[in-house]
Amino acid sequence: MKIKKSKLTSKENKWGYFFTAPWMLGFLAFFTYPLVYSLILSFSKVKDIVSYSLDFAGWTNYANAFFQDTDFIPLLLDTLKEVLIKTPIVVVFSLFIAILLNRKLKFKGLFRVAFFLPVLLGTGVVMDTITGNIAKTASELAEEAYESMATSEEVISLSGTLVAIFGYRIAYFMSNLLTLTKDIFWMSGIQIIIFLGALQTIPESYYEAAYCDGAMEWEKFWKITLPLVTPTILLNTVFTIIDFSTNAGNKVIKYTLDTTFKDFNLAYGSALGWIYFVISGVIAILAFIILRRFTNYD
Amino acid sequence: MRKRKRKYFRRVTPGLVLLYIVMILLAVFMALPLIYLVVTAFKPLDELLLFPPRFFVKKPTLQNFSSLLGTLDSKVVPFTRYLFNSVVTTVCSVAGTVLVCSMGAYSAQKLHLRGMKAFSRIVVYALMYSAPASQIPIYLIVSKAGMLDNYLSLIIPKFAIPMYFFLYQQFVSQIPDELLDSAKLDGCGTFATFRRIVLPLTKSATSTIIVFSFIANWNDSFGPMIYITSQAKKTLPIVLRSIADGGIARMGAAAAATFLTTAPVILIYVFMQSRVLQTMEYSGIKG
Repeated sequence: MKIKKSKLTSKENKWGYFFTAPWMLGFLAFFTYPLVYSLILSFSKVKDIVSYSLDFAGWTNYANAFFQDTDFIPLLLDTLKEVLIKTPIVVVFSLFIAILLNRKLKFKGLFRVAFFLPVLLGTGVVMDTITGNIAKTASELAEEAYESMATSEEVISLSGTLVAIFGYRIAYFMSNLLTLTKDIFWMSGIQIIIFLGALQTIPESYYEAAYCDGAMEWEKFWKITLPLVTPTILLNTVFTIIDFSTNAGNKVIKYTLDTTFKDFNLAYGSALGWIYFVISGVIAILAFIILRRFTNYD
Repeated sequence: MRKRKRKYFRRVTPGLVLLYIVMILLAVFMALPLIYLVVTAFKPLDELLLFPPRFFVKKPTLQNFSSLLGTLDSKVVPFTRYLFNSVVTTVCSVAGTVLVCSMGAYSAQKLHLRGMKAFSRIVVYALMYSAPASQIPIYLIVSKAGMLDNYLSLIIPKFAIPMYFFLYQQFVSQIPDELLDSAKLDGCGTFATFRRIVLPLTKSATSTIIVFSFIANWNDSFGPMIYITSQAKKTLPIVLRSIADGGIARMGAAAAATFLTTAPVILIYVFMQSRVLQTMEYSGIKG
């Protein structure tokens, strides 16, 4: 009996390895190996691009990034600031929307589709062009309006009217606000869906019991909904941080790719990639540790 | 019974109206990029160049589409060729990734291989691993494998994606072991179990992954830019970009091309929509 069983498992094992092989190979070749190799590359100097030989360079690339490169550090700080500001807003916003969507609404399905739409366009050239256009338009509007004020021409355009009413600073602030809102709204499609899933697992009976005890909506939110979705808040926060830091529109990533593939500065590009990778990883882990203190797992 | 009936005839309260108004406004805002995209494709040139730009179109035309065909016909490579390239690479990548990730997740979760559990945990960490640091080594691998300027360079690296593996794992782990055992007792081998039980039960994960992978590959402009050198093998996003860079004269054509490139993504999503949402909700439960 025992022999028979082990025969079966060994046969199963053979199939098992056959099943895993493609995945393993792909994962090793296109994830693990590149990661290790780029780490090595970041500590080296490419002697000759044609014959491609490496020299050990120690921390030179990293030192260059921090002390020589005048563009990288400001970009990095900008991006990190953006992540730190936008992540909490995205999480709160998506929880808010998910709670609204979880109510008994008509056309619920339609709303859910609408909130997921930006995710569909999110990765492509298309979104680049559109967001580029809109952002440009907003800042151009403000600028144009400023000019038209300066030359005191007729105020006919919308932007002109805006400036006439609010003044240049506020018009500019509003256009920035529009850009920010757009970023937040269009980044929260997946988060909303994940929150919705969590909300739907909360038993209706909890709310009924609270209702019998005379709880108000507000109290129900603080005492029932919020504690029960804390694990999902944790998940979504980490997801949002990762999403922001691997997003193709990210300025640091663009800069890194340009250094690597336009200037063909392979070693330096790897070092930049690693700096950013480590920092965004630390942020995600910190967020995880901090939020876990407030998370209750039933 | 009576109580339920009363619920249906809930009175319209100011709060409810407000809720609807807020939701509709938000939904419209979310749909803006898509609406803008569609509207722009039908704008005549003078409206495209209008400053400040107007959101809606006044006199819709099909002129952009004909000018798109015009610009592309004058080129050496016809538009249909790019379309063909995009379709071939995308379909192969999607099929490959579905197969590779589902097989991997099944064996990691249910076949009790040594070390597989630990390995699948590593994958979760790989999820957050940022791509730019690894682009160079991937390029080196692709070039050493002789895949440069070949469709394969756009297909093979897209197979083993940690995110999809993770999604499949969430679903496979929820299949009860008894079910798989009983299949075995009925004479199903490992492969038959996979095909007849695991694949059907992970259908909604599969449709989600099809949508995501389709979007990612269809829109990918980085791969073809780096790996493909001959014009006849480039894909749609590259053409789109080069048309868009053509300046004012090509603006109408660019708008039309953008619309045409996005249409398949939207169509795929519309067909698979309910399942995708289900999966995302489902997988979020166990963070």
